[in-house]
Amino acid sequence: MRTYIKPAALAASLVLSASGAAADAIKPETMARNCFTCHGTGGHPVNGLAPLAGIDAKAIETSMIDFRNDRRQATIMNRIARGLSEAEIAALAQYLSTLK
Amino acid sequence: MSRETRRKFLIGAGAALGTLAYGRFAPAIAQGAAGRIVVIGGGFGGATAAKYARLLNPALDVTLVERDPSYVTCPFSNMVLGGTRTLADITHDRSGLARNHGVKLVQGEAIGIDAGSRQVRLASGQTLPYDRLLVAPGIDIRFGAVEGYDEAAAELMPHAWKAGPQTALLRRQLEAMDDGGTVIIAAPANPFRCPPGPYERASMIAHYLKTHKPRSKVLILDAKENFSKQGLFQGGWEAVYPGMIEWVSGSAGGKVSRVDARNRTLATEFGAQKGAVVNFIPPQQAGRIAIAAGLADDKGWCPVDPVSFESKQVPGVHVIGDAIYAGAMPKSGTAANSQAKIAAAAMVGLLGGKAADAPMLANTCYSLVGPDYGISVTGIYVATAEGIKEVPNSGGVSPARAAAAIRKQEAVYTDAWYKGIVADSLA
Ligand SMILES: Cc1cc2nc3c(=O)[nH]c(=O)nc-3n(C[C@H](O)[C@H](O)[C@H](O)COP(=O)(O)OP(=O)(O)OC[C@H]3O[C@@H](n4cnc5c(N)ncnc54)[C@H](O)[C@@H]3O)c2cc1C
Ligand code: HEC
Repeated sequence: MRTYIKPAALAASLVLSASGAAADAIKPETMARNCFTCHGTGGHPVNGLAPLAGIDAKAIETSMIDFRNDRRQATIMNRIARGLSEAEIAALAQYLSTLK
Repeated sequence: MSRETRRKFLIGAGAALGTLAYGRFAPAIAQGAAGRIVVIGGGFGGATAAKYARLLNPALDVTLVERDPSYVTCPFSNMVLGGTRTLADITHDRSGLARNHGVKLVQGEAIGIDAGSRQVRLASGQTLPYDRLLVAPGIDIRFGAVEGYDEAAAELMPHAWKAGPQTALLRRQLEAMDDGGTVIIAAPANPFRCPPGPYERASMIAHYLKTHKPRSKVLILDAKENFSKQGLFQGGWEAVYPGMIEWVSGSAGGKVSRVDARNRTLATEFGAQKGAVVNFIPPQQAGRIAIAAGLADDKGWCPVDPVSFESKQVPGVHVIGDAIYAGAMPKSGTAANSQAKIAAAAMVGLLGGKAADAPMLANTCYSLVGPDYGISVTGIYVATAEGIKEVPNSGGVSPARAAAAIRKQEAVYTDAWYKGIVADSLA
């Protein structure tokens, strides 16, 4: 019923980033909505976790890269940050900084 | 593994069908104003989807149909059994969805879907027309799948796998039990709702017994050979409840073939096991509306497109949460909340004539081993040509060895996660 393109053709048509993602495939707002489960809808937390809305992009990016490389102690953010490539983190941080 | 995510390849015929079907609404859609979304089921999946659909396009008409007047969450229901929470603590109303987001709330049970004329039928006789439908009914118990376990048996041997009266019944049985008794928890084969749930439950029941009935024990009879966060749970049990919790794998006699609810007895290949209290967690399937509407396959779960969460069996209908095959994602509240945002964006896009964006999904399951002892498993997921896969080298479980302060910190974050997801889904 559904027409999927063959995997071989798929792979050939893509530029892959370090983590294997299609470089520009996932929009930052799509990534960010996964953060909102814990850090609050729109990045406004209700539970004492750090806010993400309107935070300086460089600060978020540095935190995420440090979590990713285990340069910053964390109970869970290190495992989450490793799910994003450096390019994805940069785009996500930029997007979060624009939220009101 | 290739992490191909571009929906233009994956979405294939589904999107094409969607756009075709909406061809006659094209002028209204072009203004970005038209479109009726109906959501069946106001749990972590459906409530989140209804809210985010309105956040993404406030011009949309979004109606949420839900059977129950309030949402009693399964997350933290094990803490009700352990005595550190009350049922009131885990009962939430959905009025914020209407007040804050303009979602139309309809209390009632959906009993049929006519995908041809795009209408949902309610038990009341009312019909709700839709342009895109999202179905998030959670699970139903497969009564009768294990001999002797029917609705009447569940009143004697609660499953408590839907939170509410069943949770209260199991709690009352634990309170009434004499010190020195054995509580049996029977855990099902995969797949089932909340893979770490039975083991968190064993932990919380052990917490109650340790503080109130210290000569009692917990026996887990498992249909499986291994379970979620097994090393962390077993390490935690050793540390917090030494000698109190015994786990029996399927091949070692854990597989239950028949239940005798009246005598609180379970038959296994290695003989009968009788408990002072028995919590029987039965096999499950997608909520019955999904089955009635032809959304599920013959195993009882719903195949969906991993990019748009549109049903592979019924066009124009999206399915999320516990009811679906979600590839590498478990059946969890966090997974349902994450899938909801992807499905909401896909529906909003499709109503405007745009194909769904490439998804990124997340799961986190916290579990309490003790009130001050939290552990977690987390994962980030993407869509590939083979379905939903975890991003390699990411996610995973809490460290096998950690200071008590770290476990305590995770217990604090367990609470933060709960407050967070309840607000993100319902407020
Ligand atoms: C003991 C236990 C502990 C758990 N702990 C966790 C945890 O810590 N973290 C976690 O992430 N997950 C946890 N879970 C799993 C979590 O509860 C589920 O994965 C989650 O609820 C799935 O969301 P859903 O929206 O798919 O279904 P549900 O939450 O079940 O919501 C479905 C809703 O649809 C309604 N409905 C169904 N059919 C109809 C119909 N025909 N008409 C109208 N309404 C209908 C139901 O009344 C219900 O409100 C736990 C589960 C259990 C059992
Ligand atoms: C499961 C819940 C959860 C999710 C989902 C989550 N976080 Fe976190 N976040 C935490 C916790 C808990 C901490 C505290 C650090 C720790 O122990 O991991 C934290 C800390 C942080 C910090 C550090 C804030 C400070 O104090 O400087 C940043 C930045 C952050 N998270 C960003 C994100 C982003 C971006 C996402 C989405 C990709 C995200 N988080 C998703 C739970 C979560």
